[in-house]
Amino acid sequence: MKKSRDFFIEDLLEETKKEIEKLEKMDNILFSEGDIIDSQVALEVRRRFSEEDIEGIDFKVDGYMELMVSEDEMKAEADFFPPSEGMKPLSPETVEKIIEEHGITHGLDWEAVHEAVFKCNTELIPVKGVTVARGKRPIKEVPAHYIIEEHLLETNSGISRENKERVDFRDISPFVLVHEGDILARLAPQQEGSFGTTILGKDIPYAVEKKREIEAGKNTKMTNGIIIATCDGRFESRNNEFWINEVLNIEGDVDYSTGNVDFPGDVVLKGQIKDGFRIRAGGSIYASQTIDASEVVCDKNLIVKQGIIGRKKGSIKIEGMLKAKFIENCYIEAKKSIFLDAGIINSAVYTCDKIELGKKGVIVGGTIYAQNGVKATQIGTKMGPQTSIYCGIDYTVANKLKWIQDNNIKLASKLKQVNEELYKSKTEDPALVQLQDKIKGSIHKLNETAFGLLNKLDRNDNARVEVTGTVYPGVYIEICHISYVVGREISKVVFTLNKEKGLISIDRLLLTGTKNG
Amino acid sequence: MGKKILAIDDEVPILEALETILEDMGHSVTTFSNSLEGEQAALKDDFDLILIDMRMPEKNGVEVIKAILKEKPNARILVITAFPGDSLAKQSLDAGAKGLVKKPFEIGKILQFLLE
Repeated sequence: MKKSRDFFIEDLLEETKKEIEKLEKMDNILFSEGDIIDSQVALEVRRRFSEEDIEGIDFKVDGYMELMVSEDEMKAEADFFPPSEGMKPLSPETVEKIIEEHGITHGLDWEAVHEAVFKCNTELIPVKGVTVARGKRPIKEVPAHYIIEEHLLETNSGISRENKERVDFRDISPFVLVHEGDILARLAPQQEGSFGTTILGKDIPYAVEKKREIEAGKNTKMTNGIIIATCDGRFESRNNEFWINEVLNIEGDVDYSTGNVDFPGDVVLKGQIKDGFRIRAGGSIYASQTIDASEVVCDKNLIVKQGIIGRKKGSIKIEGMLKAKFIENCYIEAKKSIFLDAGIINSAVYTCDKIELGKKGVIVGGTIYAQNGVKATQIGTKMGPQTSIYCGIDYTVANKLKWIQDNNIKLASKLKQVNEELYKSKTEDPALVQLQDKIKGSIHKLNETAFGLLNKLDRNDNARVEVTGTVYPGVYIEICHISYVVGREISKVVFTLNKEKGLISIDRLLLTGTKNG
Repeated sequence: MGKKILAIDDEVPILEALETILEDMGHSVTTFSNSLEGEQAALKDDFDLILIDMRMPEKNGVEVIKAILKEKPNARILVITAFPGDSLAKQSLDAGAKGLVKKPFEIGKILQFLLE
């Protein structure tokens, strides 16, 4: 980089050869304090020697500026030096002249220049490294192109933080899920290119960026500059193509590698659901292996190739039907029918439709609510746990009534305490009286709700319990709130409600009309 | 229209809750925590519905039911039990009880019997 001082000295050299010759002789000597050097020589000395070398030497020199232009001509930096005592300050005219001599015409920062000159002249200190001019870089041309929404390309986006330190890793999912209508990509308009300019005024041509076109695949739609999902599903991409898969295929287990699964469509699960993990599907779930002590919620059907083992903590809620080999120690609610090969062991199973078991299907222990009836090979065992079968009623209504009852029992207990306090106190505490009224009001409101639900409780008085094998003593059967307790082993029977007599009838294959076994 | 209900159960909180809930619905509820006293009340007065706990210290539910139905064969009795499949539950139905109610009670089922 050629310094302005160099040009300046060139001129000076012409005019002051003697001084230069004198100066040349001084190259290899050390200066001593108190030396006096004339102005032109001083400038050259300052240029050639470090400040450390010339410290304490009394230079007689005017204020001056040194300017450096970068190799790419995109930047000019300047050092400003103050005048020595009694000499002329650095003038703006001098500065402008130096800039002009360097051919700088673009990107000048006059404010920075004037500020530096002022500081240098008033504070009498060198001001170095001031950027006095900056070139304009070219802007590349970018063709119009689609950009995939950033969040879709992130994984583990489902992370939830209970607080800053604690993360539930079961909530971290590698699946990127979208809903119908979600924006997947947006069209970025073409960006025009523009020339750049060096500080010396030369044009810099712009580049044209090449963009690989992305391809919107299955279940996507391009409309008005955006690409949207046309169904709920999993966002998947490969190379420059992306699509929405309405089925979530999980090749392994639902565990820490998948996190809890919450998918809007169907889920096909090859592995197991590990203990403590949950799976929620907006469609159906197809599980190849046993479902083990898990929380499962699906808006359509649950098809399990093996069994469901709840270990007394599994909870399954299905809007559609359930098919599995067996259910063991589990809580299950299904709005539609339940079909099982082997049976139900010690479980609470609720359905708004029927339960049908296969040829070896047994129900042993637990509570079964099946609105439209039960078909099993065996119910109960000789010495087995209590098995209760409730048919004909809507379990959702029964559950609501149970909830109302539980809350009313609590309220009744509170009311008793308030009544006792009021009885004990000589004067009526208005707050207690108010509370008493409030509790009574709440009980009444709940009772009204319960009353309103009553006519929705009994749904199917034609519901039947069919036992193609044996039903054992101690099995409790209720159809539309009419009770029956099996007193002895009986085989090949059908339990139905005798509406006229208000009791349960048993048809034993071709035999009819027995009450209570 | 309010019905006359008799409730016999040695668990007082259950009786109190039943009384509060059913009285709020406009029914008249008489309660006894002693089965013998309850049986006497049932024999002495007429009730639209009698609720009897299955297991009580003084006299079990089945015997109370038998005693009541012997004098009042048209009495409508529901049995409160935690074990709807056990032999006492079976015996109570055989003795003439109209149905079983799971402990503490099933308000929906009780209301259905009151409406019949």
